[in-house]
Amino acid sequence: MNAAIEILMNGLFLGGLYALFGLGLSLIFGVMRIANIAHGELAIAGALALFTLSADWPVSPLLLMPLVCAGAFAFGWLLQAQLLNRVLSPDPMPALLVTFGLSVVMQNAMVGLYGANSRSIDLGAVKTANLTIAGQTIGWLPLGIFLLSLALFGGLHLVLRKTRLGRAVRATSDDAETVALFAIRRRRIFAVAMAVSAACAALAGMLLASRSSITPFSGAERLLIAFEVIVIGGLGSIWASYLGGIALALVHVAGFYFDPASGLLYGHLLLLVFLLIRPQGLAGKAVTR
Amino acid sequence: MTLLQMQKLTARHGDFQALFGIDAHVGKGETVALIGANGAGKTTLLRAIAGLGTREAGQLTFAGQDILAQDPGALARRGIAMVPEGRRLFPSLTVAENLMIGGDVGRRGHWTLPRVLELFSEIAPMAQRPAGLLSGGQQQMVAIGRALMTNPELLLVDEASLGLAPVIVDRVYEALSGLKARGTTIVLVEQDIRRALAASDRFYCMLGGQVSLAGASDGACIEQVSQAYFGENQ
Ligand SMILES: Nc1ncnc2c1ncn2[C@@H]1O[C@H](COP(=O)(O)OP(=O)(O)O)[C@@H](O)[C@H]1O
Ligand SMILES: [Mg+2]
Repeated sequence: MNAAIEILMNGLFLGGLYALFGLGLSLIFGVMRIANIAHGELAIAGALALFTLSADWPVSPLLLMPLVCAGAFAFGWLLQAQLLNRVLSPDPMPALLVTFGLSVVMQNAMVGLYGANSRSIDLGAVKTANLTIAGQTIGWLPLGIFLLSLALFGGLHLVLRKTRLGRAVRATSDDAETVALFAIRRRRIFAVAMAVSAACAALAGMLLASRSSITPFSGAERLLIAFEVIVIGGLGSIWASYLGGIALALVHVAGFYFDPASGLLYGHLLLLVFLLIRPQGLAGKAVTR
Repeated sequence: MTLLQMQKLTARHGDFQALFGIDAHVGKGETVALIGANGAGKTTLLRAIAGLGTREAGQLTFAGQDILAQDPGALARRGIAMVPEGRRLFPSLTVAENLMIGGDVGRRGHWTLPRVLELFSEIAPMAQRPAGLLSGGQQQMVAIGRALMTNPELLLVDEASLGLAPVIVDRVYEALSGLKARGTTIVLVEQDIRRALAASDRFYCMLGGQVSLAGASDGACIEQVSQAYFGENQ
């Protein structure tokens, strides 16, 4: 019984993090209809940047995370405005190839700067601090991450539903040509989406790197998690990513509990099951375009 | 006063030339019909006026100013709005949000969300529903409403009646004549020659990317227009 509660809770907490990571990929796909192959490298780059910053500044890495997110936001914006917006066309292939090239370049640059060693982010005392509710021990960190992810999803939901910018983003996602008639510049919307996506990737990347170690080559693994989140959850709404993140994390946590040698495998199997049986995902609409 | 003026306007889609030197003008407050068979270039012309799409040459002025090189957003802010062919609503946005997208252009004027919902009272109960779920006629009203929300001086309407039941078409044209009464200048593309002539002050008939006939709609000879519409050898 206790094991079941533990798995559920850990799955839920980790799921918020997965969801955040998947959200970044889903946002780009939703708005621009391209898959960003460099999404995993953005996560790794965020973690490595945090590594460098915390070597120089003797404060908790948690405090430096907003700084890295701001950097990732700016990087995402520039990436879209200076590079991806130049290769926009009805054919998704050129943009896909550019993101693939970017992932290779970023990986090589990271190997050059950081070497191939594996490392992880040490969050210090926060990592082991916990509280006890109804006899159940809960780590502050996973709980905090879960609440943060909920808050970020809630915030994004409100921005998308209640603001003029959010309306423009959703309209662009529906019909990127017609928005021009209403003075909405799709290139700017795309840049906003990529900036938010990169910030999500960096944040998730830093937090994931505090749970398990990374190397500059870990990007592909991370990308796979994001893909699994959006295939399992489905496209078309940010809460679909949330559902997908939690489902995937539950399977990972349960997998590691019962079969520590191959926990991730069960996530891949879940991906296969969804691709075969419910390709639109848990909450997604069937993609027709 | 002339609001819109075209001189020797040409446009091409890639290597394909779709407009061959259009000379036309639209006076302030006028309703002008563009008629012509499929492929005549009507949509290309409307899109060129709205700043969408093709590579153009020649002269295009709006309220006396050259707008040939302006982007659609700038033209929307200056008062050119389009109801596109096929309506092109944002299907996942609600009806109200679709209308608000027009309002977001930022031109103040008569048209506000409540007023548009009053004009098209049949879509008011659906204001909070995704626009993609509406019927074709309701979607057409949203598309017109969305353009009105920009408070345009010039309204371009591309085949508003396509695929709609006759009652709905009457409803749409009734709304357009109401707009004319408010002083809005309208250019409308319509396949149905009689309806186009009935709704307009003047017409241009297009054939193969050129104006084949132009004149006053009142008393236009249907046979002559039909010939201009289909070409000489039919
Ligand atoms: N995007 C495009 N690319 C290439 N050719 C086009 C495109 N759009 C329209 N055309 C061609 O331009 C001509 C005029 O089309 P259009 O303006 O849509 O005519 P209409 O609206 O009068 O039916 C047609 O021959 C059409 O095939
Ligand atoms: Mg047409």
